[in-house]
Amino acid sequence: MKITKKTKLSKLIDDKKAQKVLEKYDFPCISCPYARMEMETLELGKVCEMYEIDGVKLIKELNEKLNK
Amino acid sequence: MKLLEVKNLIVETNGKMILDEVDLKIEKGEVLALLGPNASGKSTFAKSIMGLPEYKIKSGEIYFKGKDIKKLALEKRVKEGMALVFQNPPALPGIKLEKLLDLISDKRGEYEKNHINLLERDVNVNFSGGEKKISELIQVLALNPSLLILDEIDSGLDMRKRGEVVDIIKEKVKEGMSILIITHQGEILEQINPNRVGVMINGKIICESTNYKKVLKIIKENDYAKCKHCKKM
Amino acid sequence: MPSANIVKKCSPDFLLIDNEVKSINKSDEVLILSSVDAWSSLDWTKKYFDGKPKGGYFIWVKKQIDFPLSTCVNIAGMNIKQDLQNLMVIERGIKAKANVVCSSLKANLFGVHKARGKLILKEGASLEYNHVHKWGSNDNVIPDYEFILGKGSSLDYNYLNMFSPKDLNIKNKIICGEDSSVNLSIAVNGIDSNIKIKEEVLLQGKGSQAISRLKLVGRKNANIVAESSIIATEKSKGHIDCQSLMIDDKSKISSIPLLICENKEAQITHEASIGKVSEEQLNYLRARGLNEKQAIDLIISGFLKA
Repeated sequence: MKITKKTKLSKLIDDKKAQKVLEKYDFPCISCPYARMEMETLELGKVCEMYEIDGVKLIKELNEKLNK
Repeated sequence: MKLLEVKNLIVETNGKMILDEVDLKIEKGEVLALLGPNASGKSTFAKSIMGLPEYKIKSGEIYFKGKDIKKLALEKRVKEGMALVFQNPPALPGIKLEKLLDLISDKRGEYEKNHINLLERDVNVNFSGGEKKISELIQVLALNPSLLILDEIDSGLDMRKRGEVVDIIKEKVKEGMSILIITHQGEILEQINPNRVGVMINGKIICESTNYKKVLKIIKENDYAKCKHCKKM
Repeated sequence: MPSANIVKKCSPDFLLIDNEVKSINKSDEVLILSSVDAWSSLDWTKKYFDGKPKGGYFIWVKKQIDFPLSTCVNIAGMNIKQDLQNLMVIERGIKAKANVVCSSLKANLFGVHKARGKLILKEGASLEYNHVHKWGSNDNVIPDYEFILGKGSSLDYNYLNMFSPKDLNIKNKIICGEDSSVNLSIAVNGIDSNIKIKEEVLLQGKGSQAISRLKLVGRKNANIVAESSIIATEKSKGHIDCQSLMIDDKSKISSIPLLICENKEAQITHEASIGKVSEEQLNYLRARGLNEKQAIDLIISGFLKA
């Protein structure tokens, strides 16, 4: 699965490798109990933008880890 | 190799001796049934070898896979490969069975797929007797132990559920799991056909036999009265 | 502070990071603005604010909605101070649900989160308000909420804090009108924290009812003082249930239920208990391979969520 900024969080949230990468970037939604309900609508790129997380770097690392 | 070897075990609880110089061995892949009247010490034996802290080992030895585990903490004995189905497991309000299973193991069993609605409930909260047993089994199977200790697994089970449990035990035995089954009802033994049976009375193992049918017959005819005078068969 | 661009279909409905509104959702049924914009554009809101707000959200549920509202207030930077006033109004007969998260995104940000909230439920309205807090160990958090329940309205307020800040000072005041009802649930995991909780339910309407449940855990030098009171001035019913778990000897929990009755037709009761983790539960979980810390964490989580 190629990760892009449009990738929905629901595709990533239950993947243990993805979780480790997201935690490294202090990605807010993984521990938020209500974000879980909105995983189908939350896009990776949008959340990065809102929280000023380096989305390019994060997406690159996710692709490296998940598509090894 | 002997999977479990217990020698001269003396156990006290609240200052009272419950197990009196118990010797017991279980081989790899063996099914051993432990019979005895109520309050004979069977559950105490199970919990003592598991390492539950309220049971003080006064003296004796416990070896598991050749390793002395007498001083090993309870959770470490589980990691070594022992698992216990509790006779009366406590309720865990607010803790869903699904969540507990996630913490117990990454590898989950096939068996739980038949009991999805149980997974969504708080562990043992308003579970029927049968549901508690199923929940126990699901948990211990997730641990994939080498030695599975079943403390009265058959009590409270209807025929269908007992059949389910028996099938699982047989399957696990084929896979090489050793089973210590504690019971005082003979019906389940007819179904699982243990390799050996032991009888515990007043904290002592007074009988061991490879002929469980003969032992059951004696108990059925005489309760445990005759067992007290029994020689090893 | 500039207003955010209002965008469609973006979750959460209101997102504030540090002191910047990042996004607000738009719908026909609900008007969401920053409190600053509400103050300047809607005169009627002024009576609910305590002076001109510096930040916070305004949510006005005008028509029935079929989705839960969500707000997210985060501290992301170092030494941020938030001084927010939040106002939520649910119009007559509307049933709404709100999931509200206030959190620090990292440990050791030394943030201050001060939030005063006013929630108005008009006649016949009902609100399920789920409030989750997650803080770093050096934050200072001061939520002060007032709920005004109109005739026949109902409130389900659930507050959960599994990660307590250094200092936490919670005030909740619920004013119950005629035939209104409230179910309050406050669950706090106090870890090396100074925690003050003051909860006051005023049963001012005839036929009003309240149940208040407080669950507190004290560990690693936590010092918790929880005062939970019901004051009944009309024929009404109320009950307070405070349960606490002490994990170690270095913590202290003071649980103070208080009942004041000014009407002989009112029935108000309380129960309070402080205990320790059950050995039986602890050993059972250890017999599943969990170490003592994992087992205690799980028991605490279960206790707070049950």
